[in-house]
Amino acid sequence: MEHNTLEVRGLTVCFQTAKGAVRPVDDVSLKIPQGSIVGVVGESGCGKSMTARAVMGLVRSPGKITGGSVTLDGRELTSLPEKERRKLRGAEISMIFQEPMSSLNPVMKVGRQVAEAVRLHTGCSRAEARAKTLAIFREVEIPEPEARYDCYPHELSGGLRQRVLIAMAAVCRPKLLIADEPTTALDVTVEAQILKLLERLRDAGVSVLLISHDLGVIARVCDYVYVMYAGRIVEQAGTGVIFDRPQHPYTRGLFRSVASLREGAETLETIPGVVPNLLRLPAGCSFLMRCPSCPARCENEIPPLAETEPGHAVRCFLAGKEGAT
Amino acid sequence: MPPGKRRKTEETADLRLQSQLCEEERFWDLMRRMARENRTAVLSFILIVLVVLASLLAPVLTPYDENGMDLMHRLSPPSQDHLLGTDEGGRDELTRLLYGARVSLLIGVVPALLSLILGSALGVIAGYRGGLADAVIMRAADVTLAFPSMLLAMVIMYSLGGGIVNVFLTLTLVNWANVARVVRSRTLALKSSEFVEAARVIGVPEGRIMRRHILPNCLPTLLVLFTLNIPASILTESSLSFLGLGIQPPNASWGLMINTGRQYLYSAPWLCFAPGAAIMLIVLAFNFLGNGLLDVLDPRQRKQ
Amino acid sequence: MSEILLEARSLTKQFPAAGKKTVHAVSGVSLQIREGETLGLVGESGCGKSTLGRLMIRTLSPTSGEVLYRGQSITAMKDREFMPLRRELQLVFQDPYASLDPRMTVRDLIAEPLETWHICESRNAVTARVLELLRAVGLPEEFLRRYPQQFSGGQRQRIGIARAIAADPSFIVCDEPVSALDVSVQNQILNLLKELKASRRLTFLFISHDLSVVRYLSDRVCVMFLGRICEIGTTEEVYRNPRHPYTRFLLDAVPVPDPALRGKEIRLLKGDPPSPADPPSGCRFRTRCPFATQRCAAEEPELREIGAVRAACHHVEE
Repeated sequence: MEHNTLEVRGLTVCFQTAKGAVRPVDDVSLKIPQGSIVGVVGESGCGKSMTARAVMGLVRSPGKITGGSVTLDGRELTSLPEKERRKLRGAEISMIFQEPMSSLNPVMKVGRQVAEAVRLHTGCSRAEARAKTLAIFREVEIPEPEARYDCYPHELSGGLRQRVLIAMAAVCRPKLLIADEPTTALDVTVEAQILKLLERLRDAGVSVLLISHDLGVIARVCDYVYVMYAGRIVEQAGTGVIFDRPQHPYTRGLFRSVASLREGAETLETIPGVVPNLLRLPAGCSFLMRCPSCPARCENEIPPLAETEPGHAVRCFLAGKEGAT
Repeated sequence: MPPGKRRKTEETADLRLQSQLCEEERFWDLMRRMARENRTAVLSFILIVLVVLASLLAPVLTPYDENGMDLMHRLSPPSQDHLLGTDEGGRDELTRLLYGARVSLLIGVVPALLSLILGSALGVIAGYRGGLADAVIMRAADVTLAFPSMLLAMVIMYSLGGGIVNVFLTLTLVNWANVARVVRSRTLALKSSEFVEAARVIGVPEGRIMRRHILPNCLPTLLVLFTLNIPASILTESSLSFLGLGIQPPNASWGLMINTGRQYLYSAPWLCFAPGAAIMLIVLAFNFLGNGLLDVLDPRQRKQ
Repeated sequence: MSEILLEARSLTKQFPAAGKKTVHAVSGVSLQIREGETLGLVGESGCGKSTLGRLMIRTLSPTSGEVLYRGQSITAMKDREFMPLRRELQLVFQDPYASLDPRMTVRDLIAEPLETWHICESRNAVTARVLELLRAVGLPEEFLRRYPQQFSGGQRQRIGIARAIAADPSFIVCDEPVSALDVSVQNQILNLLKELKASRRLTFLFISHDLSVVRYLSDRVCVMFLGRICEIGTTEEVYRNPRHPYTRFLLDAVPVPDPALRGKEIRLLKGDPPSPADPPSGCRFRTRCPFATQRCAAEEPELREIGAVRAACHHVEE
């Protein structure tokens, strides 16, 4: 049996707002087998970043985790006191963000920032921390690590900053690395390098949760994919399977949109309409308003996430049936 | 900064969610939020409204005449007939307090409004035009701010003479510089914003950009400044009147009432105490309200 | 062949940067855009593509070189002479959140260019024209009295496009118009732009970092690296048979949404792009280029005809 580094079951995050309760993450379950890269894909506002924050225990008020469980190597995280969680962060779970500049302290040399993180979690000496930092800098292919050690974040390019962040996240050999749109702010040629780096970490035994809106990125590095829409997982499958035979109308629309652009179609495929406002979700399927073919049942009943083949589950009444186009 | 250096602005889902939740949170929503979360501001607002109403309804609320002398009852202590006692001319203190509120409030509002108009016009021009206009306007503001405001007010009042119009003028001249500085810095920020660049690309003339794009986006800041300038004006005028440089008798402002009551501080302390307490309450109320507005309208500034 | 609408002649733009350095955003760029065509401009961030776009419509003035509109130099013009041309040269912004004044209604936003140029006689005529424009960009009429905050990114970008086309310009620079949008919405906007291009006979300079987006809309493509043109030619030719090594790497690096291609080893460019404040001598791509030789460091390659395209590289042959 394979070992899951992270297991999330029925995770729900709720925001109390003046205009009512909103659930940006609604009954999300996912697992990350050890040493694999699992992708969560979806459009902005679908709850993929909030899911990552919830796993990290970083949901800010007025948001609250109202249900579900998160276990890291069998250890329940949601019930841990904040102090314990803080110890885990950076040591066993770390996270990297889209905009590396905002996660670095602008007035502190990057080498020291990483070394500080090392000392905080291992309690080793300054010299050891420096050595470890330089080693990890080399590992993430930062050129001239000694010179970069004494640079301030603004002196580095976007790609280098992201490498520093990855170095900081990986230096304590975490079990889980959450990467939230790690390449969105980077150029394509740099993006390719960073993705390569994530793969190398995976091969070194780190499990990675990769959040992205870019299907190209997902296809290139992920082993398993979850598709989120309006706070819920609508489809999940192995990467090869989901790209080969997507079942949910949203996933299909998304894939077709991207494919038509790549193939240079005369008119591009689109998904009509806009992402629904979470405050005004329909009672049934949240994709209802944009769906090309929905039976009456979808209006009042939320379809369950049902398996259509081993390892492939879809949240649609029509999935796997005849005429589901 | 070259425009090419701008980063891709794909928002994280997190931010987008926040903006979705804050959707439609326009002015009145913000006011409602303040009302819910900030009791002090609400109480302050109610107090201000009550004071305004009381001063307007003064003829109905009290049977006495503002200037009606009653030499038989000079300096009588608070009683059922005269809730706050009478002054040296036997005039009902409460009546004078109510009528005095009209003058004091007027002195709070009018100069605050005038300095707001003057200060924001000059501030926008300085910020948007830059160069010489900026240098001239901001140096003038610096000079104004370099003087202790009380001293400046005294000098101006002394050379202009007393009277309510001159008080308005003086307080405007004292307060505009602060407004101009704040508006100028807002303008500088707005000037480099993309929607102002968009207006320029469309060909909108400068004057119109300032009026239609920059000023309206300064409004929340201006409202806060306005609310905080009122108590400052009331205080300055009180001090001026106390020194005999402000409102001239027989008009009554609260500051002037303290000034006249000062002579009887030991024999009739209520003459100083009542207007003093009134000033304190109204100034505190405006300050609380102003800070409440600052909280909801301009949270960034509050943090600084 | 149609007339040349806009022409850049050895345009150079430098910005002062911190520490007495100079950012060489655009260096000696010459290109021509014909009436009715769409020229795509691709390159990574910091390559000067946005700056070039703004130079072309005179919202920035060049350090040297000039821009010609229908044969007339708009660089040499005084502000007053240029004023009537302002409405001909428009811009669609990247960020639909920052480029719309949050305090104006949709009607006022779209009416602004109409009022500025006194295009309509009366207030009612303005409103009627705004409604027409809303329809043209695919927005419902109910939006008229609402504020931009109430809309999604895609809807806001439609408002931005309506503003840009309101005064009937002849040339529009689209500066990364879809990079802030989600995939499904991005395609809607691209379809709209293509449709407008045909129905209004617009000429576009379409700036993007996304190669597939550029390919969809452009007749010709221009690839920039660090302020210089690497390669320029018809879209088909550049994508089918890229000549400049940078173009090839760029095309290779785009992640393909097809897991089957995963095993294929992709060639990676080494290192980061050099800083525009400190560009390398000679060919600016040479520090990342695997084919670089002595000559590349010493001598700057000129754009020259290579087959059907023009590229700036010493080592590319027919």
